[in-house]
Amino acid sequence: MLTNLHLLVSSLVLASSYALVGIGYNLAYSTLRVINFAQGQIYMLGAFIFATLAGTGTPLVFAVLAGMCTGALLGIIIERFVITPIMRQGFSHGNTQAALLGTVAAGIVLTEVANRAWGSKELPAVALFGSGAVHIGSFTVGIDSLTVIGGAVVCMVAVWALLYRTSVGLQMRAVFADPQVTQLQGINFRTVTSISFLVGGVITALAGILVSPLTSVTTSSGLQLSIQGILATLVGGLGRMWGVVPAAIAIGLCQSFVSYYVTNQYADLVTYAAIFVALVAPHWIRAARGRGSWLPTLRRQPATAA
Amino acid sequence: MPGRDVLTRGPLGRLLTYAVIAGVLVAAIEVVQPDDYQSQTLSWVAVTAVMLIGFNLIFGVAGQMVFSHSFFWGVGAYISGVLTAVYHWSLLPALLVAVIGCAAMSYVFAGLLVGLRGFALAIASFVLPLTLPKLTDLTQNYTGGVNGLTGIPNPVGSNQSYLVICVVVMVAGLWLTQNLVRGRYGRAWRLVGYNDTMASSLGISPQREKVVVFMLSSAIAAVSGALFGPIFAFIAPDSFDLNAMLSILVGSVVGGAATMVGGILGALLVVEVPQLLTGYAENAALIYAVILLVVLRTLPKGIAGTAIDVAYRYGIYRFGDAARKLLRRPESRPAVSLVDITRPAASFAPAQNGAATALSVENVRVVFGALAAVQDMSFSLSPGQFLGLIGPNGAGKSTLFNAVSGFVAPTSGTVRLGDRDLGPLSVPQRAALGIARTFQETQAVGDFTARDSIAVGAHIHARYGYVGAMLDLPRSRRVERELSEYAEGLLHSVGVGGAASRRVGDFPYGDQKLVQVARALAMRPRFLLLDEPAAGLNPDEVDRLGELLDRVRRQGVGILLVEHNVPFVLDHCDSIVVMHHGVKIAEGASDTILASGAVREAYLGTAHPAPAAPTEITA
Repeated sequence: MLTNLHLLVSSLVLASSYALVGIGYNLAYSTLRVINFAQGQIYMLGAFIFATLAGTGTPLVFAVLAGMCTGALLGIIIERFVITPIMRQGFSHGNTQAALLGTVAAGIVLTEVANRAWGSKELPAVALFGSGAVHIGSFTVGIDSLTVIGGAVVCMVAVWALLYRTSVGLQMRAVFADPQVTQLQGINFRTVTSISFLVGGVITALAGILVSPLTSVTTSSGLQLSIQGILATLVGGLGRMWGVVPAAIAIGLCQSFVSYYVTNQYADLVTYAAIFVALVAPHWIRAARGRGSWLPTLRRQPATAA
Repeated sequence: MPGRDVLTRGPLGRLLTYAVIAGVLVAAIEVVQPDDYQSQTLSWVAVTAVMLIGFNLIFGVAGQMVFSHSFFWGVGAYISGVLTAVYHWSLLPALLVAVIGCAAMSYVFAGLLVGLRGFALAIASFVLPLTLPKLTDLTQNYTGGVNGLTGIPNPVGSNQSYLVICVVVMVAGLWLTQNLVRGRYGRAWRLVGYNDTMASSLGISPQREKVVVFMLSSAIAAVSGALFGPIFAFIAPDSFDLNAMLSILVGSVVGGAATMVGGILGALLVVEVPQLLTGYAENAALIYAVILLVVLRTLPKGIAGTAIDVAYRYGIYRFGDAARKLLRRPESRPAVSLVDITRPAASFAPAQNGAATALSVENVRVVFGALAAVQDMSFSLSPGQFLGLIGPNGAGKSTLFNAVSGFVAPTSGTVRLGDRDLGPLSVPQRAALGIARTFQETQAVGDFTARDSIAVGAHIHARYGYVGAMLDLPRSRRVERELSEYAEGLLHSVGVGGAASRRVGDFPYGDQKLVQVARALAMRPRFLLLDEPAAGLNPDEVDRLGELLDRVRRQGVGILLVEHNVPFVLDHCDSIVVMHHGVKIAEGASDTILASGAVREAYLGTAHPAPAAPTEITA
């Protein structure tokens, strides 16, 4: 029982990072309909800037702010200088694919730059609120874990408040719903897009700041983080802002429990397989129910309004 | 392609050209006598080119973003490497096993993914290269795990002889894939990449074609992988990791993803350029990433793609047109204005117009959430009938249209062709039964020439197999030649005959719409569903369209026309259905419709019918 509780806490820690990165993805995806593959590098750089500054004795508040600013800056740079210009170019098939490739390349540039700056050593852990623990009977939970989970909840509430309680949020939601139409309604699409990437960058960098002390982050783990975040986003439904939360929890649970009970070495493989099934199963089910047709997606075309 | 007919005229087709290329390259190797190191590098280039050609098929031609190519490359290398190094097989059977293994794996993988599109496919395929190190770890007794597999034998002894093999395989691969990409499969794949909705409306199953291309590209990757091992007698998992995938992407994009030659240019880039740069090892990823970013922003079609664009802009296609004109037998020249769509080229599949069955819509109801877009609509369309479907905006016309062509499943009611319920049939299956449709938007398909745009419409009729296409056999060449003439004839009949080699995207809007109608006609449908074909056309083009449709109808094709241009509908349709708020409010010949009070009310919104001339009813 106690073991299971500990595993639950560690799953929630993992889930927090996936969910925050996933929300970052969704914020970026919903405006330009492109997946930003450099998201994991934003996470990594946010964490590194924060830990480095904290290591030199900067007050933690400023270190956190610096990390968040890094995220904001990178989000905007990737939107303004990578995705948007590439989307304007002609490409053989669909400019979104070219833009996706562009973000992959941008992510590698960021990884390599970080590699030059910090080398390949692991990031020193800097806990925000000390390294104490809370005891409830014989159950012990570290303050650092609670910080992560609590911080993730606070971040999500903040994003929710931004989207649903502010005028900018209203504009953002309008753009998410229909980028083309909102431009005709006098909403500045480019500004809203940049804000969306900025918020996504901040959230992702915050995830890095909160979670990295508990996991081992190196300069090269950006890509893997990107992929795990994308997988959580896909399972939750690309563009469905909050769908990523249950998906992240499910993936976190799978990873923790499989690595404890089944296999430690191949926990990743099992998780990938589970995610794969979660991604494809809805299509199989739809295909099976699809009135005898094995071509389910053809019926998903939205009807053009008469 | 310029001069295509000149080359396909001979008994060997294009084979001769490629044989000469291979001969020149082999002779150059014999003359230059590269040393061991140069031979290894050049073999590496040739093998990489084969792999990139495979990637270009799925990524550039079929437009599917997959990150699994380095994985299949690696699996091919490992299967063949283990069989030759550990079990002492010779290279050829090992290569065959690798190809079959990779094709089977990719079939299973693609079959599982058949419902996924776009990003989901890209990311699901991202998982595969991540698993390769784990897989080699699991099997390290055979594969050597992280330390790599050593002692892969060179089947011909010397590096120079092996280089000759690699170069010949590269040219052969170029020949096979060029043949494939130029023919019916290449057109279908390009269309799937641009617009799989349109592909399915022409009877091409996007899922099926994607699975085929994916298997083919993985099989080609396996060939390349199997040939890669013996070059350095060594392979390791990190030759096939995500960095390798990145270099594949760089090579493909920079060389020109949509072309096969681009694969060779890309291979030169990803193999030779790093060799020229000092301190390559630690900077490889950074250099690749920067090159990729710069090329994506400045030259997104890559070197070969841009070269083709420039050649097109300067009118290179005119040489092809001239050659075609010279070589074609006079009697096979297309008729100037009339094409009998029921009687096309000899080698096509027989037309399906014969049976006099009707397309009937019975009590069809389509509900989206709380909105009943179509309520209990019934009508029937018989061969040779010209039925107009009109109604104010939001009347549910397009939804009904989509329900007939299969893009929307009706909530209740049935659509029948004769006695056959079309309910369980997908869009491509309905298209194959002879139900063609056009779309409201023109959907110009990228770089398609007018000729190719029409030819892809005849995909289900102008048939030949994959093997025939790859080997450029006489039958596939004959079908292609007749198809090209057929396409030109159809283009003539819509009034753009002289511009068959031009890209449709360069056409004026009206011509693009007419080409779209011609493409649907190339399917030689029993029933033609047209979604606002006259919208945006000038009066002259509207006349051309009306004349064409009257002719098509006289050939026994039933036409269902959704159109806002009411005078056009009144002039050409022999019966008209009027919809309003999803309900049929009137049906009959044009005078009946004009006299109907309900129709006036729906269009003009007045309770007191004023005496109005017919032309004032224009929506």
